[in-house]
Order: sequence, then structure tokens, then C-alpha cells
Amino acid sequence: MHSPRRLSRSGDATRLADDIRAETTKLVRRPAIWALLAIAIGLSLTFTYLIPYAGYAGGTGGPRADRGLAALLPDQLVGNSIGGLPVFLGALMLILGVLAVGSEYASGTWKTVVTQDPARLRVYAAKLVTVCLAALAGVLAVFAVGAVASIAVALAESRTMTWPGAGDLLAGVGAGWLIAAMWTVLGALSGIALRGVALPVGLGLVWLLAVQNLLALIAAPLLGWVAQLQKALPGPHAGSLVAALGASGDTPGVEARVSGDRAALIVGGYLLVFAAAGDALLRRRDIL
Amino acid sequence: MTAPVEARRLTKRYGTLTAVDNLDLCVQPGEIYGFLGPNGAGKTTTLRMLLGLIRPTSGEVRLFGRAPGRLDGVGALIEGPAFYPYLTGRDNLRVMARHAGVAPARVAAVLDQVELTVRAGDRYATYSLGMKQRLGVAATLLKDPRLIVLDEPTNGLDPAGMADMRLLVRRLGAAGCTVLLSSHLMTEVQELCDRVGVIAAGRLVAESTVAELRGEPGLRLVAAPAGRCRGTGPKPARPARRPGHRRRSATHRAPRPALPS
Ligand SMILES: Nc1ncnc2c1ncn2[C@@H]1O[C@H](COP(=O)(O)OP(=O)(O)OP(=O)(O)O)[C@@H](O)[C@H]1O
Ligand SMILES: [Mg+2]
Repeated sequence: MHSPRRLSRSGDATRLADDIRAETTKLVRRPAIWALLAIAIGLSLTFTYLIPYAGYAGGTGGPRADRGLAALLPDQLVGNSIGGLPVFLGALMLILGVLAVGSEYASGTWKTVVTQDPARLRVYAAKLVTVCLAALAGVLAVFAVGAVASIAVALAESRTMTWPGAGDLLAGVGAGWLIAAMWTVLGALSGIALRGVALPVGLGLVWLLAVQNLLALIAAPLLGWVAQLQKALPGPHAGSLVAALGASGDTPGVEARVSGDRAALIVGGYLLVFAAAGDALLRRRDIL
Repeated sequence: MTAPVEARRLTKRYGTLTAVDNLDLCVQPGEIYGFLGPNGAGKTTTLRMLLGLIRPTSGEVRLFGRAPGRLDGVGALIEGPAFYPYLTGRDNLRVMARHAGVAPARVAAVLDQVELTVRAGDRYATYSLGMKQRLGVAATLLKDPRLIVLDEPTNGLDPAGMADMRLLVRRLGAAGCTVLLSSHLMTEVQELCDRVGVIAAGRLVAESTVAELRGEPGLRLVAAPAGRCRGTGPKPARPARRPGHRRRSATHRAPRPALPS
């Protein structure tokens, strides 16, 4: 069995690249990931374009009818594409992170992986790189589908198409990616902290979809300190960042509380803190 | 040549429970070492510590003289196989080969070794218990290891599968690979191993060559946490009786191994 032929390649960068390829295979071959992407696209299309357009075309009024047609045209692409990230797209990104990392606990595969490559930090880094690239792909897909939808609306209503400038587009994709990556890494961290999938997904959704809203709508108006605390949380900063880039204030979770730059800085800070916390836990804990 | 496995005063406590208690273990190059003990004796916990999966409460581990965290040339299957259910057997091995930094071409060879090539294109979720176990063993072979750690490798296998597994272990041994194998079956260990360590309640209570095991009514019992790595040469052609740290007579804390023989 043992022969002088050594098959392992050396070099840390090569090993990291190998780990990233392994993680990519796990992600790309997993049906649940594609289902997430389809849901992300379907939800954004439905709530950003289809329902508002149906409301406009039917002339039935409703909470978003005042935005009217103007909100559905290509020049609004950036705001429309990233508006979902503070809440519902963010929730899907969180699930992505939990699936990528928590599943290693759920299926017991951590031990298989780390006996092949015992450098836990390297494997974890490869996971984060992979899920963050997947998050970028998700953001780009939402932009692309949004572009197609807005072209369709413009053509149907015979409006001229004005596109956002390249700089705005880049800033939008960048900010969207930053927020998406932050939620994804939070998902990864909760997968590690709770060693599984079900509980982190459940708690993550409760946090993003319920608690954030309760804090903002019920607790913050009543208690000054909750209002202060709430301002420090990642969700409201994501909301401020997308608001600064043109997302409509009608979208849940979108509200300009701080400047775009400051919000971007804080979201980036959360991203780093979540990543470091996951590493610390993974390194310290036993793998069973 | 440094010993493939050397553990000194290895201890793992979970709260008040001492799962592994001051265990000394030394496996020589080329040896097939059987780690024998009843359920809950601490076999898996010991093997996990050797591989750096869990941190010892105290004590030291060296594999080929290296601190834990270096596993090149080491393959291991601990407490049953675990793979991604949505991937095929082959893709699971490809993923693991990438993690190991090994050329994916190696996958076909290890699938062949465990005779799983025919079903390698099926999803892992659809495998029978025995096929899963074979895939687990295949993964341990990816690195073309010098040391293989197998935790109860015949679990879940039918008699033919067990025979195959034993043949594989013998082949590995014959090719110069060091094998550390845990089991609760005295017969299995007797059939396969050069040397046997018996663990009970977290302690290494006896250590013996299989030749000694066969020739004597009982095992030799370890007097004190000892078992230092002494001789470092390759295993002797015929396991020789080794003097020193073992005592012949039973001691009160080292009862007969409660195992079928
Ligand atoms: N993570 C843990 N937390 C608490 N106790 C544990 C943990 N892991 C193992 N133990 C305990 O340590 C002891 C040894 O367990 P271990 O799994 O090492 O036994 P084993 O010899 O492998 O048994 P088996 O033959 O059943 O596989 C048992 O009492 C077990 O309950
Ligand atoms: Mg066990």
C-alpha cells in the first residue's frame, strides 16, 4: 500500500485552492442550493416586479401603487435588486451559510474532512470563500432577472429605457454582495455554534423575519435604549446601506438611519466579526 | 524510524466521567495493532485524540513524531463512515481527495481496492450499510497512507464483507502500512493483529502479542501506565516476548478482558 510515490502536492495556496474546489463541488451538486437560488429569484421577481406591475395595470391602488410604473423601470434596477437583502433575501443567504457549514455537523462529515485535511482554518476559509462567491452569484442573478423584468415592463408600457450608470451598478452589486456575504457568514457561524442545520435556520429566520421587526416597530418606539441598541444591529445597517443606494423605503427593513458609507463600514465589520467567531469556535471545539 | 503512534499519559474527561485515563500507547512501524475493549471502554475517544479531532484533557500524542494536526500519510475511519448523501460515492471520494490534496486519479484505484467501482456512480444515500463502510475505508486509502486507523472496521459488514475487510487489512500490513484497529471481537484481533492492547474503563489493562495471547490462558496485564515506545525498529518477524513493563499476574484493577474469545 505504502509506496515511495507521494501523491500529495505541497504549498498552502495549492491546498487552499483544493479545499475551495472541494467546497464548490459540495455546493454546486447540492439540489437545495439551487432551490434557494430559484426561491430568491422567484421572490424578488414576484414582489419587486410582478405584484407591483399587476397593481399598476389593474389600477387597484394598494400600499405600493403610489410608486407606480416609475419604480419598475430600468433606471431603478439597483435599488430594486438590493432592496430585499436586509430581510427576505438576507434570510435566504443565511440559509445558504447554514447549509454549507451546519450540514457538516448534521451529516457527521467534519471528521471525514478534517482527517483528510486537518488544517481546520484552511477548510473553514475555503468554505467562507465558496459561500461568499455563491452569495455574489445570487446577487448577480437577482440583478440579471431584475434587468430582464424591467426591460419587459418598459417595452410593455413603451417607455424609454434609461439604465443606471456603471458606477452606480458596481456600487450596488458591491453593497449587495457585502450584505449578502454578511448574512451568509452569520449563517455559517450559527451552523458552527449550534452544530447543525435545523435550529440555526429556524432561529435565523425568527431573528430576521420576526424579532428585527418587533424590535423596530414595537420595542424601539417605546424604549429609548432599545432604539439605541437597534441602531447597532446588522439588519438596520443593511437597511441603511440599501436605502442610500436607492432601495425604496416601502420595502421591509429598508430605512435610512445612517449614511451609506457608515452603514457599509459596519456591515463589513459584522462580516469580519462573524467570520472570526466561527473560526475561534471551530478551532477550539472537539469534532465528534 | 519514529513510531507511527505514540501516546503518553493520554487522558480525556467529560465532566466527572473519565473516558480515557492515563493511557500509554505505542505502535511500531509495520505493526498491525489491535485495540480491544468492550462498549464504552474509550477506544473511539482514544483514536479521536490521536487524530486531533478532540483535544486531550492532558497527555501527549505523536504520530510519526509529529504533533497532532499533521496527518499526511495518515488515513482514518472513526466510528462509522460519514459522507454527503446527495453526492455519488465517486464524487464523495473526489471531494475528499481534494481536501487531502491528492490527485483525483487516485479515486478509481481506491474504489477498486474496496470493490465498489460498480456502484460508485450511485448516490451515497442509496448505499447499504456495508457499501457505506467500504466507501469509508476507501477514503482512508486516498492518501496512500503509512498509518491507517480503523475504528471497528467490520461493523455492519456481512461475513463475506468481514472477510474482505480482514483481507484488506492483511494486505495493508503486508505492504508495510502500520494499522491501528479497534474492535470488540477477540477473534478478529487474534486473526489480524501482531499485538493487542486491551482497554477497559479508559485504561490500558493489558498488552500482549497475539502469539502470547494464543499460548497463554490469559492476557498479560499492564501493571502501571507504561507502554513507552522503546524498540523503534520494524516489527519482528515472529512477535517476541518483550520484557519489562508488564506483569504476569492479575492485579485488582485489571480484571479478565470481558470479551468473547
Ligand atoms: N462527547 C462526549 N461527551 C460525554 N461523554 C462522552 C463523549 N464521548 C464519549 N463519551 C463517553 O466516554 C466513554 C468512552 O466512549 P468511547 O466512544 O470512546 O467508547 P468505545 O470504546 O469506542 O465504545 P464502543 O465500542 O461502544 O464504540 C463512554 O462512557 C462515553 O459515554
Ligand atoms: Mg467506539
